[in-house]
Amino acid sequence: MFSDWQDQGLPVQLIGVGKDSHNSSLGNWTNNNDTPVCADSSPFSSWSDWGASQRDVFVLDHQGNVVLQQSTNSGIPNNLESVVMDLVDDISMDCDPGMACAEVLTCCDGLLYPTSCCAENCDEPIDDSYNMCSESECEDGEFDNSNPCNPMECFDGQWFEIIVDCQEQMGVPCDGGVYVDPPEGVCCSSCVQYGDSNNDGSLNVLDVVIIVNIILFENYYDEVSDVNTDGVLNVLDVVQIVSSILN
Amino acid sequence: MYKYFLAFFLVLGFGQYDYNLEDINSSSDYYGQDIGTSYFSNKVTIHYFGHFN
Repeated sequence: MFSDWQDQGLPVQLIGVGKDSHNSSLGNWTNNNDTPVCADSSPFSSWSDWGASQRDVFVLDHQGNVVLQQSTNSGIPNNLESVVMDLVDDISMDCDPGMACAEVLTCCDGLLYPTSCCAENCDEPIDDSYNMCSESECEDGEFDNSNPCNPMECFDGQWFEIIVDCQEQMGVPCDGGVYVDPPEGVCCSSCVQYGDSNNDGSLNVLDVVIIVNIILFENYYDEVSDVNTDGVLNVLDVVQIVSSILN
Repeated sequence: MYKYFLAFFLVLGFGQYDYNLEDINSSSDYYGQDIGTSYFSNKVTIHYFGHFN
């Protein structure tokens, strides 16, 4: 049991206390173990001060107070392990409200404390409105769209990349239409039906007006308006889109 | 002198249940040192009293 506690690095120490009049049998205690063993000398004042009898075990807390005193004539106390573990837990929870500390805001384990002692003087952490101690990269729910093809969103103070799958890059065909470059702030191109010149998702007279305007006045090639996909914008495209609308 | 003052105050702090005896186990990390409850301050200590039978 004790060797397990040692392996775990727990703040527990076992000590054997004998009498020097029996030193000739010391090897029975010390063979194959590194536990400290002491020998009290006559008149054995340590034994009498403790009121100890042969085979008594004493468990003391980290402040030197006796918590358990029991004879082991009938064996090791059944509750020894639980008693020791409770005392070990008390060590980590202990704090000293009278500890002398500098009155300076201090970050400990991501929390803000009013003094340099952090929690050791029993102070509670204070409000960290200005995130002086925050170890998080971002605010929860914060969104970064500076690169629309690699947007980031904040969860639990950490940035997470959002995967954007664009149909065009994935090879999805744009049947009856053409992929149009996305506007600023958008990553993916959109599949626009031939003739939907205003890209509103429907074919109507508004598209006809746009096509006619391009042909008569703008004189540039617009692939979406090239309804018959012959590489030229002319009256044939107008006729075809009107036919599509009426039908 | 400081060592004696320190030992004095440690004894006061730990009171009755303390001792200052030499560790005679040559395999121990504390072999040859005078140890007791106060030597292991801030630790849970388990003391077994027995004859070396």
